[in-house]
Amino acid sequence: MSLVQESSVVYHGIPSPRLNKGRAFIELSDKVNGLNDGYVIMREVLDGLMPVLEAHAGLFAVSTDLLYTKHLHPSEAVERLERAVRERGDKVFSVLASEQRRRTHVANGLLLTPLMWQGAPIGLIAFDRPDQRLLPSDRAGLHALSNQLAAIFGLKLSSSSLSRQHVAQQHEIRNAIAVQQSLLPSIPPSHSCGLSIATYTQSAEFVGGDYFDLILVEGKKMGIVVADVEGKGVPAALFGNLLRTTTHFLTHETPSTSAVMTKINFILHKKAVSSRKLFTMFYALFDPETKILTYTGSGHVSPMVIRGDGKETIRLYSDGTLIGVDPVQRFSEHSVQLQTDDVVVYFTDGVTEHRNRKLEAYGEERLIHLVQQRKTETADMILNSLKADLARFNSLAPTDDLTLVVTKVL
Amino acid sequence: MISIRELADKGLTVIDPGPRLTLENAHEFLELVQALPAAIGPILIVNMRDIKTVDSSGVGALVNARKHMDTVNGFFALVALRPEIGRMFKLMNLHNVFEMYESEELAYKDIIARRR
Repeated sequence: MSLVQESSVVYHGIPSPRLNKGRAFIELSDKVNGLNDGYVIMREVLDGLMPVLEAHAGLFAVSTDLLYTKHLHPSEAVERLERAVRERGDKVFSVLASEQRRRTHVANGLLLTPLMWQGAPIGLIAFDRPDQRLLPSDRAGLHALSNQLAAIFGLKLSSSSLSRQHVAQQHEIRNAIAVQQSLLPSIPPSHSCGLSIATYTQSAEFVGGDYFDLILVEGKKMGIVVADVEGKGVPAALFGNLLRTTTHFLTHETPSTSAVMTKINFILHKKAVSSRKLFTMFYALFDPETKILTYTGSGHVSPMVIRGDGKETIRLYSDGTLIGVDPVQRFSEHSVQLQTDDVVVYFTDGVTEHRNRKLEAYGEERLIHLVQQRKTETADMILNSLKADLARFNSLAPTDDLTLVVTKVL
Repeated sequence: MISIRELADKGLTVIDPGPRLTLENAHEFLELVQALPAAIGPILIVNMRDIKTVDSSGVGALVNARKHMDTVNGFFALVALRPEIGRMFKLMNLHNVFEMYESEELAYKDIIARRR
């Protein structure tokens, strides 16, 4: 028999507000035991206790992870506490749970209940209520519930740092690296189809969600693909494999870059949504006979053309949105006439969003400036300069995957 | 710290994902959105004022959050984007996907006006 049923039996037919309150505490206690998600527990606690305590606003904060506030009516006191918790986190818990105040108490117009776990404050529940008095039964109910909640969240915080996660991660690393190795382009990225090509990819962690490819189309044209798949690890790498297979198949079916993108979107939309692997992609096709580059993008950062004569820099803008948003999205096709010595740099946002210690972004301007300075060099040399400059900007490992493909028209 | 603010008198929930919306917390953010009560026509505003970094996982979570709100006939808006994040979203054509406003107040007023 659950606690809810027991309490129903005990209190049935007794219309006492006090006992009804007791039942509410017990029902809530039973309910949170069956819940897993921290924020769902927080919402249930606020929803359950605010009517019991006749509060018009409540706040529930745990560690520096989660903060949940609910306002039936606007409450300046709760808003102030919310700001303090957001800005100072654990310090606020410590102050409000000082030696004398480890149980429910009233301070700054709020009813405050610290959550204590293994002798330390890990969180806080607060209520703004017009009546500052507190019945002993409410105090006892809050104390019991806060002990239970402290144990639930204390265990959650402890388990998140268990080393078994590390072991599982190591296993995933090996699998993911194997999958990602299989994604590397099959065409040697040197001199192909009238282009000098150099490529580089680095994952933020062990394996990333970036994917790039070089595909020979109609035996003479060079297809260049750069994509950024949501997430990292094995799922992202496996999705990258699916994207690779689909792209190769479609590029051999039609020479139109927009048709390829439209079909990729149509085919992979459902899978991208269900597996939470939305992605951006840029597909360009270079014809060495005409030196025309045709391209289509789906929300991907725009590659840059740096003219060999130094006269202009062109952003290859495309109006498509990322794959997974709209299954029948139509993509437009654009083209640009390239000349000998023109450099095109394709990249993922991990490059321009690469951050230094001051959290400044590497940015497009720096990328363009460097390529303009090095435009007379080979694709390999330009790429190496970019890599070195990224490392100079921040020598630490990147926080996002970054991929660079540099092509130079021969 | 992810913070959630429910303003029951306005039928409005505001989520503040903290300084990053990346692989680390994107899944948690989306689960949180999907766990919100599916009342008729709820309004969800994501306040991006503190967000300095969004990666592909974060963008995916925002797109899926918007889709979820569509399925419950709700309203979804992003507010107070930092200029660099706004520029990135524009480059990714996400202005076609999200309604973006300068502040919570402007978003709320516009949504209420349209709902009438």
